[in-house]
Amino acid sequence: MNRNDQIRHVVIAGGGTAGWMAAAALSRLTGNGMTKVTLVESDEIGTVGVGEATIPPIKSFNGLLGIDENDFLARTEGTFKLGIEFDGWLHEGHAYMHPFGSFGHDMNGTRFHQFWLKFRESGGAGVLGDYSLCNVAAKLNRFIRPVPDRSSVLSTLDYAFHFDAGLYARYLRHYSEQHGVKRVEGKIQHVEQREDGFIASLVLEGDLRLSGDLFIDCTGFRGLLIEQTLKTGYEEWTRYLPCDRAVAVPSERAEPLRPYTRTIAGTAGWQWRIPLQHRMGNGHVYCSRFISDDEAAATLLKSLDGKPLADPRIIPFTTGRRKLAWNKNCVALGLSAGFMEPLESTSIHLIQSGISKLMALFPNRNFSSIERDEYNRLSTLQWETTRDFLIAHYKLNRRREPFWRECAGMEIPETLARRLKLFSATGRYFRGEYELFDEVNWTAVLIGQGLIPESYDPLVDIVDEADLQQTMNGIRSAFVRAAEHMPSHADFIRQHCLSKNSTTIK
Amino acid sequence: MPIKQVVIVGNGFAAWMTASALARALKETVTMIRVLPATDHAPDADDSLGVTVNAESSLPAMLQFHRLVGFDENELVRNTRAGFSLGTAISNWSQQGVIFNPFGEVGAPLGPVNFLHVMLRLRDEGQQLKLANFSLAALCAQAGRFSRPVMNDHSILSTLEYGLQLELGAYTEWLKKDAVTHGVVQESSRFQQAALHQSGTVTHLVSEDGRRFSGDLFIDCSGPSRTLASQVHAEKFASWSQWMPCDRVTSSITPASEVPQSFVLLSAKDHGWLRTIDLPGRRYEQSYSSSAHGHNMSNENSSSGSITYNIGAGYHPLPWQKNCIAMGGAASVIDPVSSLQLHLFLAGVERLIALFPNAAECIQESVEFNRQSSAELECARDYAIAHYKLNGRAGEPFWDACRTMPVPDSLNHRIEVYKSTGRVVMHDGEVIDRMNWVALFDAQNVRPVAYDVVARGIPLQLMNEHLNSIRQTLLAAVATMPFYPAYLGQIFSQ
Repeated sequence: MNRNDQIRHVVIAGGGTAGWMAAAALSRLTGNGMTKVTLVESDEIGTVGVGEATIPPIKSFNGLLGIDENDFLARTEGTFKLGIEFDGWLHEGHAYMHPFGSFGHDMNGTRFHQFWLKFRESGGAGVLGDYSLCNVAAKLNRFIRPVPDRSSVLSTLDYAFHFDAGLYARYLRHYSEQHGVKRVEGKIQHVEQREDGFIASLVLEGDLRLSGDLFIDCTGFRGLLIEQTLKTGYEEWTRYLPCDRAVAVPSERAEPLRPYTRTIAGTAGWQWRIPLQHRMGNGHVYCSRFISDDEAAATLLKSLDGKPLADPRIIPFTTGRRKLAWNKNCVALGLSAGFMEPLESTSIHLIQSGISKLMALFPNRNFSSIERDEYNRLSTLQWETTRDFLIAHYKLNRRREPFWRECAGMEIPETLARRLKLFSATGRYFRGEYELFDEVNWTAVLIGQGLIPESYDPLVDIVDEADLQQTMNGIRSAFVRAAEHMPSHADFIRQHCLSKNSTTIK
Repeated sequence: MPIKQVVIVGNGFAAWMTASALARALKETVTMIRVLPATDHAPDADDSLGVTVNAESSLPAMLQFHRLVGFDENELVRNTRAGFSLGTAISNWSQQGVIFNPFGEVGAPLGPVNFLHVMLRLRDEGQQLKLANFSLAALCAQAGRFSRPVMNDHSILSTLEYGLQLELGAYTEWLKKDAVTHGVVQESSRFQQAALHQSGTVTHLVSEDGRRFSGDLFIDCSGPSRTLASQVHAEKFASWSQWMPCDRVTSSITPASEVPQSFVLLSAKDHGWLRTIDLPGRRYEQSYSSSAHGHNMSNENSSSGSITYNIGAGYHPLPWQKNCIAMGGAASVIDPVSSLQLHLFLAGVERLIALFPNAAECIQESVEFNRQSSAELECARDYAIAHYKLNGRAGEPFWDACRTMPVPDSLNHRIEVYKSTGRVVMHDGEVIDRMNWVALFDAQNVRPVAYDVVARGIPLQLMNEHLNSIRQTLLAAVATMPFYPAYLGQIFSQ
């Protein structure tokens, strides 16, 4: 390969979660002795703390960077997360968990939930969540890391984290600077383009000029490079996901320290609760056609479990994605690439997967359309399948309020309609290539949202009914026993990853 | 109403495999499976998978299939005199001589950099490296050794992957016995006519001697003649002949005294190519050619009695309509250069089991079945076409035509992305491992112009040490394995 074609300078515009995640990962490029990575940010521009909750693949991002998990959690006021509880999403008074990790265990090549569907007809099956160790442990507020030994029930656990996004960015900044990334303080005044429209340089206050070969746009919703400069265009998804505003407020931490995220459906949207070591992150995502900002903020403040620690902050958004996440020599990551509400904690994951795609398809200075088109193709696939998963939550609700009736009646994408039909027939789901959520995730949410398949897989009948009953009851009691032997979430954190500032963990 | 009775039409491998697999997998739900012959044909001319062949090779996935339906692999190998396969040797398709496309993993990643990119970097530095030299399967094949993977995660030998090489006639006989043992009824009267309800579903089949066979689900395993499906389905055959130029195959069997090869050999010839499958004591050769290029290839060593069959490559986009399903060659005919015709059939059976309907009104299941089948066939199609498209035999009319033919966009995209970045684009329904695409590209001398950005920053010495250590580990492991004939002999004598 021609070394003269290599990217010599990557410029990241904007700090925050997306910017510093990109910087930390791209710091690996500096190992070749040719490529520089610079991040420009201004202390004066606030960042939107996207999603303080994550999903399990975040562990592989940490692994790639070689991050010590306990150290990282202590420095970001982090806690563990075994799943997400959906409260009131089907109807008032109903709740279910979307747990990480698997349900029961597959038998004779047939999925566990198929056996549950049959056992359910006998009446004594309980809810699907009873057969997930993550779910059982979460509801007991207990936590332990999984073990690799397949014969242990603890191997069926999986987890992610809650953390303070501001501290996470600071943590990654420290990592990036240690690994050769240069940080420049300053506000971007304007963007200079070449004749062919490619970005040539960023001009900062005081006429400092940062020229580069590749630009990463992490400037948030406004998309200073990808949109304001390159006019890439935005595809709106408001017809499927009608919420368009959020109000966020931190509060004093409530007891007990839950190892899961909560999302609670309300009149015209939903609220989140994210437990950290030092405080709770709270928010209310809502649709402005059905509720005013003042009402939304008041609803949020009224339902907090602890004293608010700041004034509520309103964040308007438009759900959708940038038509091209990679346009010319600019790649958008984070909010500049698009926005989906944090219902399934996907924001940080979409940044992470954007970065890994960029590394895999890293361009040279000729910027051939092949890498860019492939990046955009994969990115579109991932965004759309994630979107479909979110829509399913809304579509399948049975709440009475006008907002929710509208959601239940909406037209949904054909890709999702096909999946719902297939699942409602015999509970089957097939994951596509590059799809984030798998059969276990979909099963948890679809069953949780009341989409009980009309029949089960006929192969289930191979197992004798008495054996089935024994196996199912065996799994349930084994999970309860295993969970009861785990330390409490608070104890586990105290022993392994307590923040120096957190004196509040009891 | 649950599915209780299944009627299968066909008399070859596909019919008996379907019968046996369904009987074993669905023993509690399906009470009656019948097999009705479609035609009289000689047992050595089985076209039920699409192309008429005497022997076939499988992917490693077949072993999972065997486990799923509960076949005892040793018993099968012993009774059908089968052999093991470690991959495919591709000979003279480019200027590169013989290149091995092995099963299983090749090399190991170095930190975050996958093995291919470690190798690309070292090639860029001028080293001549072959992928196969870092593959356990390839080294076993080269050394003439074989033993099944051990069940110890700490041993490199646990990573070996293998498939089977089979004589179709012998395997079919074994399946027939197995199916009958599991309650399948072998009918003697031949299928003639399907009787349809006004809704379009099949109510029963009528045989030549006027008998009626009713059922809930009907499966056509009669090969490209589609004896049953052609009476029931709306016909929409999508031909692949513009991309798969070989439309004739001539098969022969010769006694072989030397040690059998534990791989399939695809040798390019002036006007087509030759596929060799070695079983203990016998060598099966299939010679593929194109009538458009007017040369009738004949095997140099063929025994008398070799017969030529036609090939009509292509597929039916909706193999499952109402309660009638076309399987194997009745659904698609793919060029055996892909080594995928057996695999695609088995994947279809596995899919049918996974989607087995709970009632005869099975619209959701059939929609999903057809969607997955089409996705899988497109990937398989591209893999087959890539063998022809990327050939390096300049100056020979047949091969020149293949090299210059337009190919599907999806394949062009794969080739372009690979050339540009060394990444393999994977789609829904992918049938081939990433590494097998890489090995094929490598065999055809398609070289990426760039490699992983992270690989650029890793010291060369570290990479060389990594490669050496892999090679030493593999060689040491291979040295502990028995020779292939001895291993086979041990199974045969049990």
